[in-house]
Formats: sequence, C-alpha cells, structure tokens
Amino acid sequence: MKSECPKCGKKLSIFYFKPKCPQCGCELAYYDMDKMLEEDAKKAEAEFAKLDAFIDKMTPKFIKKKMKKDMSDSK
Amino acid sequence: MNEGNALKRYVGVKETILYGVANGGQVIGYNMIRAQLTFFLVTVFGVPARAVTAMITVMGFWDAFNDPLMGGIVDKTRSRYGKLRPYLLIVPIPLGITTVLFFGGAEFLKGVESTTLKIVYMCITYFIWEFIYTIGDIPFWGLSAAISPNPVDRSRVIKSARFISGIIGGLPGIIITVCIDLSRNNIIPFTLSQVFLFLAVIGGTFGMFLFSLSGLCTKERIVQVNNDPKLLDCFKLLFKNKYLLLIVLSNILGTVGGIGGTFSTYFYTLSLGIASLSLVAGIPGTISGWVSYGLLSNLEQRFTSKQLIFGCSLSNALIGIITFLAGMNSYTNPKIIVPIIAVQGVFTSFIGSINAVVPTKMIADTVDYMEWKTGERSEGMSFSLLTFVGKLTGSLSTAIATAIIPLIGLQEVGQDMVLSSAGGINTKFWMWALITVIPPVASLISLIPYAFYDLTGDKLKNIQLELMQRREKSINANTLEKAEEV
Ligand SMILES: [Zn+2]
Repeated sequence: MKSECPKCGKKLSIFYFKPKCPQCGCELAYYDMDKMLEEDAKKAEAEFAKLDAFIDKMTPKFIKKKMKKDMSDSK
Repeated sequence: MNEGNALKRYVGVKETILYGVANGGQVIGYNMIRAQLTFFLVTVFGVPARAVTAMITVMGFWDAFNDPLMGGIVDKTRSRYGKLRPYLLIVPIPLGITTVLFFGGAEFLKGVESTTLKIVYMCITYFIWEFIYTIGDIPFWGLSAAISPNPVDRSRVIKSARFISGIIGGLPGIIITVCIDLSRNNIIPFTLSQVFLFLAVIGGTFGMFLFSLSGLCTKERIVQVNNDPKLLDCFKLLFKNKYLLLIVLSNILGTVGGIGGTFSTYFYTLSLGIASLSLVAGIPGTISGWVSYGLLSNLEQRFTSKQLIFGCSLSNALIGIITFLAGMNSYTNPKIIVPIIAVQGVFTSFIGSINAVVPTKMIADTVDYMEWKTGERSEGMSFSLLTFVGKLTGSLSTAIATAIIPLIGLQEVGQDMVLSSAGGINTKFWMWALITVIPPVASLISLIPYAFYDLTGDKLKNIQLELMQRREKSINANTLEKAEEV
C-alpha cells in the first residue's frame, strides 16, 4: 500500500483508486514493476529457504535417509 | 513434465498462507447461508417453505446473468491497486453488513406477523447478499491467476485456499448445530433467532476481517495491457477461449458425479438405520484429503494437469466399481459397509482434493492462453464462468437426484423419506449403487472434452515463456519512457 507516487512523490490518499498519478500521469501499479518483481522474488526465495530449513529440522532422520535413497535411485 | 520451473517464484510463504486464511474467512458466512438457509428461513424466521424454494429457483436464473456480468465488470476495472484487489479491499464491509442483516431478520422483525413483509425482507437481503458475495468471489479466484506469472505459485495459493477454508469453513456448521441443540434444550438462555444473529455478527466481522486480508496482503503481478476494454469485448473474449469452454463443458458433463450426496443421507437412515454413522465413515477420508494437498506438488512435478484429471476420473470410477462389488451382498450390514465406505472415502477424498486444485489452476492457464492470443487477460470472465457452472451443476444434480427418487422406490411422506412398498424394486440395492458406482462411472463422459484439450506440457510452457518475454519488453518500454522523461 504505497501512499505516494513512485515517480514524482506526490502524496496520495489511500482512497485514491485511479490507475494514474494525478500529477505526473504515470501508471501507479506498473511503474518500476521490474524492481518490485525482483524484490518479491528475492523475498519469496528467502521465505521458502527458511521454510525448507524448518521442514528439514522437523523431518525424522529415517525419512530423510529414505528420501536421499529415492533421489539417488531416480538419478 | 513440470509446467513452470523456468520461471521465478514471486509469492512468499506468508502471502500464500494469508490468501488461504482469507478464503477461510470468506466462506464462514457462505457456509452458514448454504447450510442453514432453509432451516433458518422456515423454522426460525417463519417464512413458508414454498416461498423459500421459489426464491432459490429465481436466484439460480439470476446467477446466469449476474456472474458473467460481474466478471465483465471486473475485467474492465483498472486501479492503482490492480484490477481485482480493489474489490477485495471494499467488498468485505458491505458483505459483512448484509450477512448480519440476513440472519438478523428473525430478531429485527420480532413481533411482526405479516408473512408478506417477511418474504419481502428475505428476498431483498438475500438478493443483495448474493450480489455482493459474487463481487467478492470472482476477483478472489481471479487473483489466483494474477498473483504470479508462475504456475507453481498459483497452484500453491489455490492449495492453501482450499486447505485452510476446508478447515475454517467446516467450523460454522458444527458451531451452529451445537448452538441449535443448546438453545432448543434451554441450556443457553437464548432463542434461535438470537443465536443466528450472534453467529451472523461473528461471521460478518471476524470472517470478513480475514477475507479483507486477500486485498490487504497480496499483490497483482501481471500487467493488464489494454487500458480501456469494452464490456462487450470481454464477453466476446469468452467465446474465443476454446480451452475454457472445454473445461466448462466437461464440468457440465460431470454433473451426474454429484448425485451421490443426496442418496447417501437416505442410505444411512434407511439401509443402515443410523444417520450419524456417515460421520464415522467420513473421518479417514477427511484426513486423506488433507494429506493429498501436501503430496500434490510432487504429482504436479511428474504429471501434466490433463494427465492428473484423467488419472483422477479413471481411478475414481475403478474405486467405485470395487467398492460396489465388495459390498454388493451386505449393503444393509453396517459392520461391513461402514469400513468399506471409509476405505472408499480415503481414496475419493484424496482425489477430491486434487480436483479442487487442478481445474482451477487450468482456468489460470486459459487466461494466459487468451493473453497470448489476444493480448488481453480475462480473469474476471473466466472465473465467473467457473463459479456460475458450479452453481448450475449443483442445481442440476439435485434435480436429477430428485427425479431418480421415485424411480428406485423411495417415497416422500411429509418431511420424511420412506421405502415405498409398491413395485418390487430393490431400493436398498439401487441406493448402494447410487452412492458407490453410478456417479463416478457415469461422470467418465466428462473426460471427452479433455481429449481435445492440448494446452499442456511443452505447448503451455512455451506460451508462458513467450508471455514472460513480452511482459518484460513492456516493462522495459515503461522504463525507457521513464528515462526519456527524466
Ligand atoms: Zn506522479
């Protein structure tokens, strides 16, 4: 929930729904979208790494052994 | 076979879970309305049963216009929050209010004798509730396609939604049943109308707070190219989307698959003699349904969506046949039948979870296909068709079941269903067949449209990759423009 225009910095009310900035006319939802996607991808990657580590910690050893064996079998 | 590992993941753990929690909040009120509609209106509010049936029928026809219309309006929407999220931010408030107005009716109109006034109140509040619910439901499912360009992300949020709403959504049914019993036996000092008002307030505040998370805590991550699509064009787009139409046709052909539920109630009371046994037989299935969500990612890596659909339908039919044969000589003996049904439930619930995720994900694939073909995305229209067909097949399968009832020797006497003595039909045998083998085998015809469905595997992957490159270009163009202006 950005409260200002990412391009010209104009303050926007949260009830301002229009797609374009009233001052500079840029597309508020898509301006700098590549940067936003890049950041989201990094954030998601970090969150899933944490989750994977958590699951790894919670998984009993014998299951892990079996999974390792399955993996090497399929290779 | 993996249909999306070339793309990055954008939706994190928190956003995935919150999308599911929001769906859980959304269905609290919905499940109350669906499960308790007739009981509340007839017994608590005092509206004649005939008026309730008439209203539900008329609303069914209204949905046929309402759903695609809302879908079109959603597809036309552009805002700085995206095209779907504005609705998810706004809708929870009026939806909460109308939930309270609808279920509070008996309390608000206490002392009113006029049946006409009650019917008017019921029709107006139900109409508005349904209307607003639709404006929230279509963008919610549409968001599953717009939340990420990566099918793996989409599948994950759909799984989260189905799983969490399965748990949270089951609660109101249990709570209402308990509260009704407590009130009737005077254990709690509240009348039924007060109980319903109280539960509506919980569903309308707590539930809607959770639902609003879907607007507050998510993002739309796909550029909607066309800035000013016309409503009529949105409708036209629907008919150009052959893959979507194939999915819809398949859903309609699969209608018979839903008739088992109607007969299962009669089977337990009339053949086995104890209605509550169905709860016992359902427990293992509930658990396997949950496990299925966990294992589905593995299956999705190995098989395409189409392969999963074929696998599910065929195994469902096979399990139906085996179950039918296993209980063919003892379908009135609870000691044998309950375990058999429980085992069947383990398999069918497992398959049911897959069926709750994969077709929804495929709708998102067809939205991608339309963007690839025409440059426009139609999340609203496509998912509105899905919700509409869901309601349509629901009503159709009830109608089919009602038509079968007299044919197999069941008879309605007052409020109860009894075995009719006439005819020499083996009613109990037919009921056994109807809850085990007939629905899954008959719904195999729903696979026919999928024979023509080839938006899978490499073709789908290439389309999604090409779309990604196109979108990158349009984002880069935006950046260039940015540089020039500076
Ligand atoms: Zn600006």
